Amino acid sequence: MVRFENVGMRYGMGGEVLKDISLTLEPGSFHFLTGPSGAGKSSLLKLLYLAHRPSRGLITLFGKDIVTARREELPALRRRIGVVFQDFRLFDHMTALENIAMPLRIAGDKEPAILKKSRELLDWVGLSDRMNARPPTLSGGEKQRLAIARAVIARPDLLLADEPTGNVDADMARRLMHLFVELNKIGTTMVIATHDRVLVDAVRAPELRLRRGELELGRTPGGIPVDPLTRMTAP
Amino acid sequence: MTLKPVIQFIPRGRETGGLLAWVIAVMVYLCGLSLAGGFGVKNAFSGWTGELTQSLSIQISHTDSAERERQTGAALVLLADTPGIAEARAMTNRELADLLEPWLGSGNLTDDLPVPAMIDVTLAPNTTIDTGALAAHIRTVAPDARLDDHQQWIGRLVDLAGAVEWTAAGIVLLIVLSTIAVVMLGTQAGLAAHRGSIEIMHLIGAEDKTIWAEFRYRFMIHGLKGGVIGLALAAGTVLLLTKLAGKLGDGLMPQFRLEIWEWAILAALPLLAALLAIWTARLTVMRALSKMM
Repeated sequence: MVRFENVGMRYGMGGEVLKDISLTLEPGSFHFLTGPSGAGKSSLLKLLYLAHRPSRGLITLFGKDIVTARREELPALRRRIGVVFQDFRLFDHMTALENIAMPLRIAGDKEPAILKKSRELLDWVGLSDRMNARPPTLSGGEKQRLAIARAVIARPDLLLADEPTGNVDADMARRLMHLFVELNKIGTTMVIATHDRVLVDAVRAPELRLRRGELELGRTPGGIPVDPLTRMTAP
Repeated sequence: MTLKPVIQFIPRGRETGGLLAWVIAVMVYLCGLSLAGGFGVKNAFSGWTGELTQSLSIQISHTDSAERERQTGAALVLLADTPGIAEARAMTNRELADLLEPWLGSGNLTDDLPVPAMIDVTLAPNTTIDTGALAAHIRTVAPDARLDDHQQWIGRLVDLAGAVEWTAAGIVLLIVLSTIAVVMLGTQAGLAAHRGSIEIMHLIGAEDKTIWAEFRYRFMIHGLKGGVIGLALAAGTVLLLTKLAGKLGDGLMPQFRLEIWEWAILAALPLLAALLAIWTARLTVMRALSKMM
C-alpha cells in the first residue's frame, strides 16, 4: 500500500524536517503517528497525501513511484486517499451536504447517487438534521464529523487524519476513534496523527513515533518495538 | 465542453474580478474607437484617392479673358479627341466662385479679378494616361495651361492614411497587451483570494481542468460583459461623432463609412475580449497550478 525508503524532506532551502524515513503500511493496517510538536508528523502526512514531494528517497503509493510520477497521474491517486485535516478545511460557503458530496462530484459520480450516498453518510455521522447548515454555524465536533464524512465518502483505500480529536471533548474523541476503527474493519488503511496518549493506548494499534524528523521504532499493541519497514519485532 | 463549470467551488457573488469586467469594457471601448477610426480614415482616404486618380484638372491662367477663353476652347477640342478621356468640361463662373468662396467670402468675386479658367477632366475607367505627354500636347494649343494630376496630393494622402492606420494598429496592440496584463493580475488576485478552496480541491483529487473550468466560466463572463458594455459605448461615441461631423456640411469632412467585414470585426470585439481573457487566465491559472504538486 505505502512504502517509504530513506525518505528525506525539506521546505525550500531549509534543513531536513524528515530524515531517513523508512516504513511500510500494509493494506488494512491501522497506525498511529505520534511524536512531540515539531517532530514532523504533519510533514509526513503531507508526503502521504501528496501535497509535497520528498527531497530524497523513494515513496511508493498504491504501487506507483511518487518521485517519478507525472503531475497528471497524481489526482487519481489522491482520490484513493481520504484526509481529515487538523483545521478541517471545509468549504465555508457550502452546506454540509455539498461539502461531503464534493469528492464524489470530483470523481464524476451521477448526481442521484451522490445525493443518496451523502445523505446516508450524514446520517451515519449524526448530522442528518444539519444537512443544510454551513460549516461556520456548526460546532467543533460537528465540523470534525463533517470533515471525516468527506474524507471517507469515496471509500478511500487510505485514510489519513491529522489530530482528528484535537478539537473535541473526550467523549466525542472516543466516538470518532470508534468510527475510525469501524472504517478500518471494512478494509481502509488508517494513519492517525495524534498527541492523545489515552486514545493510542485505548485502540492499541501500532505506533509510528517521530522524533526530530526521524522515525523511532514503533511498538506492537503489546508494547514490543517493531521495525516499521520490515514489520519485524526488534531484537 | 460545457460553458458552466460542472463543479462550482468558489462562492457566487464573492468572486474577485468584478472590476475586471469594467476594465475590459474600457479596453474594448478604446479598441473599438481606434479600429473604427482607423477603418473610417482608411476608407475616406481610399475614396478620395480613387476620385482623384480618375480625374485631372487643367488650369489656364491669362490676364486677358479673351485669350483665356480661346486657349480653354482649344484645349477642350484637343481633349475631346484624346483617347482615354471620358469627359472634359470647363467649369462655370458659378463653380469657380464656389471653389473660391472659402477664401474670398460670398459675393466678393469681382468681374475684373483675373480668375484662371479650369477644365475638369474625367478619365475613362481603368485608363492610364501619360500626363507629361498630355500636358505637352495641350500646351501646343494652350501655352498657359497647367495640368494637375493631383499626384502631390495623392502621395501625401497615402502617407497620412498609412500613418493613421499604423497608429490605430499600434493603439490596438497596446490595448491588447494592457488587457493581457490586467487579466493576468486579476487572475492572480482570484487565485490568491481562493487559494484555500483551490488547495482543498487539489488535495481531494480535482484535476487542473476541473479547477480551471471554474475560472474559465468567470473570465468568459467578465470578458463578454465588459466587451458588450465597451462596444456599446464605442458605437454610441462613433455615432455621436459621425452626427457632429455631418453637421459641418458636405465636402469639408469625408463621410464615415465602414465595410461589412470591418463592422463584423467591431461586432466581434466582445467575443474576442472574452477569448483573450480566457486565454490569458488559462495561462496564468495553469502556471500557478503547475507549481502545486
